[in-house]
Amino acid sequence: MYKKIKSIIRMGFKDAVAYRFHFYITLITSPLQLLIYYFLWKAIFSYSGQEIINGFTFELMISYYALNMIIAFFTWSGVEEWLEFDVRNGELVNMLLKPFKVAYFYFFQILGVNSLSIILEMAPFFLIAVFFFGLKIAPVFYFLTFVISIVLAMILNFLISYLVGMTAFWFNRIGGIRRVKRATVVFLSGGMIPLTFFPIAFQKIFNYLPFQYIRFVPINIYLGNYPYLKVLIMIGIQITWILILYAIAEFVWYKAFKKFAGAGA
Amino acid sequence: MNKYLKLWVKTFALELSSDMAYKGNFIVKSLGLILADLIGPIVMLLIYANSLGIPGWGFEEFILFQGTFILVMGLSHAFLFIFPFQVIENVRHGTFDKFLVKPFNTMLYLTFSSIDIEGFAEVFVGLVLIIWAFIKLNLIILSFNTLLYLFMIVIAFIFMYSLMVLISSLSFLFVKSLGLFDLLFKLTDVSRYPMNIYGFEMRLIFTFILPVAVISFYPASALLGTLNILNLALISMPVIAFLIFSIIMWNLAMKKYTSSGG
Repeated sequence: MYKKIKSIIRMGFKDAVAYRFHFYITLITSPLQLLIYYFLWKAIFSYSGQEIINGFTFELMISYYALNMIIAFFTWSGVEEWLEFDVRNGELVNMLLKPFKVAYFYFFQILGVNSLSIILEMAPFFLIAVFFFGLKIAPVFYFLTFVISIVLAMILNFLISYLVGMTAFWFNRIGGIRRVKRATVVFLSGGMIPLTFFPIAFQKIFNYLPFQYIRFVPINIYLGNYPYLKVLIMIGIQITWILILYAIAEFVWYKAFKKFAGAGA
Repeated sequence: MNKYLKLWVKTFALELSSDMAYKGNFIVKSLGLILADLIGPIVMLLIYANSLGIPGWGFEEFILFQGTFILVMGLSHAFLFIFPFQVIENVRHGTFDKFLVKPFNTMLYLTFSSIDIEGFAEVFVGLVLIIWAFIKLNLIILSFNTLLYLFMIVIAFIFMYSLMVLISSLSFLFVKSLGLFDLLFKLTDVSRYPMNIYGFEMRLIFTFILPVAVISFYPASALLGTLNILNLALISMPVIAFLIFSIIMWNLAMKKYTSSGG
């Protein structure tokens, strides 16, 4: 089993190597984007004359966006697109023949891609953020729990993508659904602005949704905004969401598969 | 000219019917675009609710700015973005020659067959935001400033066109050009926020060297009456230069392409 997993991860990794040019480009565009956020928030902070806006100093705000990008690199998941392609072109049949659950196959392949992203995007960008944008290196406890929480965030994001991707069994084209999903997830996970900027009522709702555990919560763990115990609770909630979504995904897959087989493929 | 207009209308009809083949997806896709475009204004609403916002721009003025950005991007999406994608895809697959044998000027052919119906969803969002701001700011529609605004939007569109031509030309040199597209396109992100935030030197760069400020900052400023005709004429000059430069690059690229034995 372990050997099989390793070979799938390696496959994803090698596929990604072929597209390494793309990683180099993001290594240029991401600091540029962070620089725009830097100017934007510098202007807002100095114009407002406030030291702290919604719990964030200017330095923390820039760190927030830097960490947000780092998490975005690692939680990348193209599974909706792959599923759409494989269902429509009947590639899925080949995958069913493999001694492996289709979900695991996609997951480990994506893990391979994201492992390359650690080397080509995350690590270099982390250094850029530390040296040029004043990102502080977190204390050991927070750093380690951050690493754990972004691995969980990746699984969580994968499961959401996988669930959305399975709509391909019912619809011919899901480009539209994919786009709605992408916009919603980025926004509700705190990928555009810290969730503390929302009215309290909204923040309460977000506590009951899985999205903030993809970006907002891991970032706050890194920034040391939670006491030790709360960090562990947050990680517990992440794991709970993973289990819930996994159960839903299994159920939907069961339904979808019936439909797929019924179509006589 | 007539045959290009015909081509444009034909492409339009073709695109429309191919989108209608998957109606459900097309509707969801358009809704997705609208949703994605509305996130920007919502983020700004949150920022303005929690701080004074961006220096020199009240919330309504900023929405006018953002609506303009979305409108220009929507127009570009609707009428320009297919152009570079056609070139990139076909150069990579070695099928670019099919454009050369057409009884059209290649660049004009690609220009007039670049239509993406989805873009109109974005145009719609932009217009809604602009109209909202017009009402809130008590702006007069039939005024000289509106005329200047429309003129600057045309300039913005010309800039976007030049950028697309430049990206297409460069894709002959760098075959893996989708990354290059990302890179050059990301530069337009600079114009998501008013130039006030960047400081004087960078504002000069974004006006005269890489004139991305014409996408949203100068049109919105023109409408709000902070620029006169002389300013606008001066600002338009680099865009015209950029257009000429990108056409020269295109012609060089075409020469290189044929001489490499295509």
